[in-house]
Amino acid sequence: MKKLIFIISILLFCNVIFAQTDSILKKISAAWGSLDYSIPESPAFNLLGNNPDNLLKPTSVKSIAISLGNYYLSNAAVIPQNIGVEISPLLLNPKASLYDFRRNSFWYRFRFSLGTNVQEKGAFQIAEGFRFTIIDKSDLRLDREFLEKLGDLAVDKNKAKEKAIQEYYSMHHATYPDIFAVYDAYINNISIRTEIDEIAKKYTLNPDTITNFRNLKKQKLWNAQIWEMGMAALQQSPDSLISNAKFAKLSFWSTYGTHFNLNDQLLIGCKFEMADSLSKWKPKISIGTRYYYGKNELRGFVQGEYSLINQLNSATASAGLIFNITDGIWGQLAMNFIFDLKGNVTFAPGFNIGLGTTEKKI
Amino acid sequence: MTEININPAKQTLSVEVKSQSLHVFAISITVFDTDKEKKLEQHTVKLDINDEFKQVLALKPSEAKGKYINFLFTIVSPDGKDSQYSAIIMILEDNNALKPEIEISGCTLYGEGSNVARFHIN
Repeated sequence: MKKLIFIISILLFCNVIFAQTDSILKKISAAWGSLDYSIPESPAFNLLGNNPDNLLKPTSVKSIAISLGNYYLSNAAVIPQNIGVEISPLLLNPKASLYDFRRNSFWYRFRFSLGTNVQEKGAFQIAEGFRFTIIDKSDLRLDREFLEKLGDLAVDKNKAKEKAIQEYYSMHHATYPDIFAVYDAYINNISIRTEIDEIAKKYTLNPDTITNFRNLKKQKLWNAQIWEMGMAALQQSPDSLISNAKFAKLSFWSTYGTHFNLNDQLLIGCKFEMADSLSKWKPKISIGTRYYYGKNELRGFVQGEYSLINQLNSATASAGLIFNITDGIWGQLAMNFIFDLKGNVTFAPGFNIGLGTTEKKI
Repeated sequence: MTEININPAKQTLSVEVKSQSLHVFAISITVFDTDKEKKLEQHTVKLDINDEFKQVLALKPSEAKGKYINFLFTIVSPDGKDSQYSAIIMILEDNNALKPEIEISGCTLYGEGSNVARFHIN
């Protein structure tokens, strides 16, 4: 548990360091556009196999995302034995600007992930993965409407300031030799700037703040069109010795998300996996769909999935909740029912927590 | 205040603004008469990230002598940083293009920063 806390602290601390370094740079950091969307499992974490769910849930890129848990409720486990970390190396770069992101969005959205899982008697699994984004319309950084809004606000404020400077000059005509002296005072004298800004408020046509508009966009974009692909490989060791770890699984995912209205999202995905079973590589193909209904911060889902594994085909039906605990911390509660061809039904409830870089707010 | 020379033989007077700030901002271009009181024309436009625009002024080069061109910039910032921003202004006429760098400062989280620049036409 101490190791886990240590790792999380280091990762979150790294983000603070980068944020502080960023403050001395004269650019907009590309990381500012990260909205507080849910934090789904990374490819490496999904491959650890603690979850019967084979669908890779897409989400807009974050600098760092951590997945904890998938410890089944039936085991009454308290300490999570598995952890996954996903990072976007380019987005972590403190010198990355919004302009850089817009020019090379594919590589800024490229993420690496690493997951580990401690099993009984010291056996462990380690997985490495990556994912890339083909389409992501939920990303504020590339949202045309948001950037247009920023420009409109700037124009509105500029016009209001021009009128306020003119009015201030009319009121203090005797004090200033000409209006240019008022312009200069507005820039150089804080108390005069405050007075003029106060006058400008009555000329401001658009009272919307950027924060309000950004929150509106978050509610509108959480279920926007998105398409991601990923890959991960897993090594497994029968004991705690890393030298005994053997290559055991390789998986590929592809998931597409869209919506029908403001409150829902439909995910359609597939997974192809090659797994080492008694020294024979066996393929497994899963196709599934998940339907969300709700809002960004709280939504329910139902999911159906079918897996083809030689003679052991199975279907999984799931239902659950995704909820925002606080900025950058998300929970998922899921109930999974696994049906095999012999008519057996297995119940596998699960709970996991996702931590990610927080959204910058006032 | 920067003084510029305009070639009166030209048909139009135009102002080009290039943003190197990687920020969204607005700029008002106001032409004042020689008395510094009367506004002859005013244009307010927005620039996208790393954008540029060219504004053709109603002021004729032959009538430009003694006039003033005042620029007021406002940046809105979507990030959380106290930063300095810069833009390049060029007056495009004959070979006397000027490229003063205008620093705009004071942006805070979702805040705004302003600055002014001014040219007197000889």
